[in-house]
Amino acid sequence: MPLSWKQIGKQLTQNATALRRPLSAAFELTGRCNLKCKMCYVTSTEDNHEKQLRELTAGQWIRLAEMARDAGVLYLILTGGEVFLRKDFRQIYEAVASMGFITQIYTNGTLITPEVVSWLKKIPPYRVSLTVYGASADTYEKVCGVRSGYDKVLKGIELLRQEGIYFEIKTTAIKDNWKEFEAIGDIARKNNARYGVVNYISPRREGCVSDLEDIRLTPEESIEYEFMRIEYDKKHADRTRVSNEDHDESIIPKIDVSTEYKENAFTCQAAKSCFWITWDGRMTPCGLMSEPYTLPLEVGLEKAWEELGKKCDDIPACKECIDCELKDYCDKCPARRKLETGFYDKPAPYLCNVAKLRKNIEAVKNG
Amino acid sequence: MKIKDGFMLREIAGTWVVVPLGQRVVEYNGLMILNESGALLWKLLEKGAEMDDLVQALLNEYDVDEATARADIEEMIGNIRDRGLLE
Repeated sequence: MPLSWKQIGKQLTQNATALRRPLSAAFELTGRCNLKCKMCYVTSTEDNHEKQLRELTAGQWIRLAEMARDAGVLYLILTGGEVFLRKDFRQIYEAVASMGFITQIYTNGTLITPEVVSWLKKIPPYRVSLTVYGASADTYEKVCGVRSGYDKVLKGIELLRQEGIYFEIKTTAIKDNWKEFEAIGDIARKNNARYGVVNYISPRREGCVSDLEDIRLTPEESIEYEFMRIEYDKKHADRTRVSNEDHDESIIPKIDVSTEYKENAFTCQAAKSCFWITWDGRMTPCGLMSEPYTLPLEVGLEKAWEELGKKCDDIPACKECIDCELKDYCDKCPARRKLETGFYDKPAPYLCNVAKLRKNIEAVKNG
Repeated sequence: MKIKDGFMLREIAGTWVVVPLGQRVVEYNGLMILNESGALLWKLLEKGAEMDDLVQALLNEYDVDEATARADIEEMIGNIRDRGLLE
């Protein structure tokens, strides 16, 4: 029977989660990026040769994709860093595009040239997910350290639109750009693109951002931002979406996994039906986590998946979070707790404060 | 009868799913799920098959009478033809 992406996504996610089979994967093809966004959880500079040497080769990524296909993975995200920075990205993309995945490319859009769209349109991905960091060159300079990024991303958007390659626009909110939420939404609407936000900035996965609290929104600002989204959605027909870096709810709806995995700290599908592979080839539960990890190129993807599940089952749940009266307003994410506090099972004050304020919003929304 | 190029039948978490490839992603906004017998027919239609081949395949594989098999196949062919999947 023909079903919509969302209907089938839900059914497959339920099946895969119950069977604990991998359904969706993200390949982080590089850790390097041509932008220098101050809040990024992974990035290193484009000329970081030491890291470049440790990145997997095109052949290794293609081998991983074959193993993922054989394991039953359907949804594949190609992400970075910036994927178009890799000289061999076309080689990787063209190989995986014919394997039967529903493929999405995550990009900052600044390296999308006429040459890129000319080969991309021959085997277009299901969607290009393009992050826009501001609505002016000034903001790009502040957020990404690259003033020209703004003009380049607009050109990238224009090229995708002209060639009929389906894309969405996302933004990531920090202090320097959160007031431009509406203006970035204008860019999305002008291009008939759906609009989403990544509304959580984590401490950096690799190394730390010492001035994180100067960069990311305070819990109060986060809630004001959520109010801005509510107002935006009232004004415009196409509602905004909240996205995570590694989970796209429009095609893979969240399902309640708590009944099947009572002893597991994760309330999401991480290591139950989803995995992530870092730029240096480690399989992790999601993009925020550098551990636990397994090595699919060494032991095979099936074995790595099995081992990863076992390691994740050993991660302690946070008892305080389970019993917390704010749990319905919180993402209850062990990866975020670990990054925020250093512990999987300790409540993170930043996240608790956001949940507390979010509860108030719900009270206002419900009159 | 033959299925157009650009679709791949895959078994995903115990479910048979028809996945569009490349440009088909744009033309065909969704996926199709098939049951076990539908997947069997699809595999034959990928190579090209006539009604009688399909009926025989179902009769060989399942405990079903010819009239029922024929009716089921006609329904499936109707579905995939309506979706523009046949050459």
